[in-house]
Amino acid sequence: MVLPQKSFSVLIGPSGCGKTTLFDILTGILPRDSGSIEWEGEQLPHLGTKAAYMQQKDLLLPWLSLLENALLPSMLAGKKGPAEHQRAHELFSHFGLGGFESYLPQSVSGGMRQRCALIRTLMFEREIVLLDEPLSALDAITRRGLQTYLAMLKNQYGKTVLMISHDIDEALALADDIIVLTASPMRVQDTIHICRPTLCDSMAPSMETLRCRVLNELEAGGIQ
Amino acid sequence: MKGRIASCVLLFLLIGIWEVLCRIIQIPVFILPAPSRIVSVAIFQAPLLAHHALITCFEILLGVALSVIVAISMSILMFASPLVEQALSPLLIASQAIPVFALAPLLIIWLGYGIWSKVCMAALIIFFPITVNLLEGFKSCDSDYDKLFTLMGASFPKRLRYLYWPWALPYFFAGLKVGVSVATIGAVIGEWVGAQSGLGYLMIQWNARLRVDMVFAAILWLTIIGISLWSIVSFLNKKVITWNR
Repeated sequence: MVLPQKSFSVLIGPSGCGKTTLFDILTGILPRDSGSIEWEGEQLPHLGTKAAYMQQKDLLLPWLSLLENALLPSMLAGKKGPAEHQRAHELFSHFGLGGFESYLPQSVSGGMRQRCALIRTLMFEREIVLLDEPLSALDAITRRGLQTYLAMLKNQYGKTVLMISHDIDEALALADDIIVLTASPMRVQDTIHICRPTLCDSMAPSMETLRCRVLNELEAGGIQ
Repeated sequence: MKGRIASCVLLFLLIGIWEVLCRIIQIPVFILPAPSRIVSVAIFQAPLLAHHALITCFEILLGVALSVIVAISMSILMFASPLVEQALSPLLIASQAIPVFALAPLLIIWLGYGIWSKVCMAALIIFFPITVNLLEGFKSCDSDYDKLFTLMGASFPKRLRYLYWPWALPYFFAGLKVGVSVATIGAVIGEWVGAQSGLGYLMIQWNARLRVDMVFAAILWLTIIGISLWSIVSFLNKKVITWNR
């Protein structure tokens, strides 16, 4: 599996094939017993120091305000200076959460919580961002709105993004590359490059062929 | 609100039945005094009862403070190290398996007739529910949060401060509520076995003189202390835990 720098790649594969396990191995949460990981020509045991990881649930701490939640990576790293605060405030404004900094997570909507989790992921200040189905718990309308913010990770902040998704339309709307995985044991079935200059409507007719190709590859990879 | 009204109605109903039975059957005061007599004694003897209640209260509060310190330290140690948990668990259970009555005379011998033997008795009863609840609270932390904190490179003290402690706070307060509700038992048993003051001491004195109305008045004051402590902990719980998970 190859991730071009500053690209948006989406992993699509059948449930239980090991996508989340792959992220756990990449970040060093689980040990790796074979294979190798290389980043910018350097062999690494894992991407723990290079990658920020946003899980399926927003995992905001309910006793901290949205701002404190966003600042958590900095606080734990012992950085509590004005620079971190300023950066967090800027991100809140970019992600449409300006004015909600002092709110507790329970007081805001699911979409806003997810945006706050996204800000916290950016506060890690890592080159790679791993997203494990970040929108799966949201309704279709909120999900569509949040796709714009996910696209910002690459377009505005220059991150290399690897996202797990079950939604082919979402993958088509966001990805530069769609990596189709087989059922367990997981292998890369195919990597489909999406050639388009900007984020476009996933319902556009030109995408229909790509959607069919992804579905065909998933079927070939063992999904029923 | 309806529940509270129902609870009050039931309480007054039971007291009413007690009062009526005492008057109809004419039960002697030295066996079972009527509630009206108990209340009047509790009010008229208020200065004496208040003096001793303050001492009992002080013992309980010191017991609570001591047990909270011990319970927090123990639960953190047990949570941090499975080995410590395995080593301490049998001792923790044994501390509750031994009847408090059996320990009271020993504590009087070791710590004297003063306040500390009663403080220890109260602490011995309170620390168990707090320790068990707090440990359970730490263990109930969602593993996904653990994963997140691992990714952020958080050390155990930082995890404890930002994650485990706030996560376990509702469990801590649940344990503390149980603890303060039964704290009076420890203090009073200590006073029964050997003391020169306190409501337990008063109860023994008045019981020997067949002043059952005074014994009941002391029990009434003890009940008020127990309910007040429970209410204070409930109030603190609401003030501290302002979030919903």
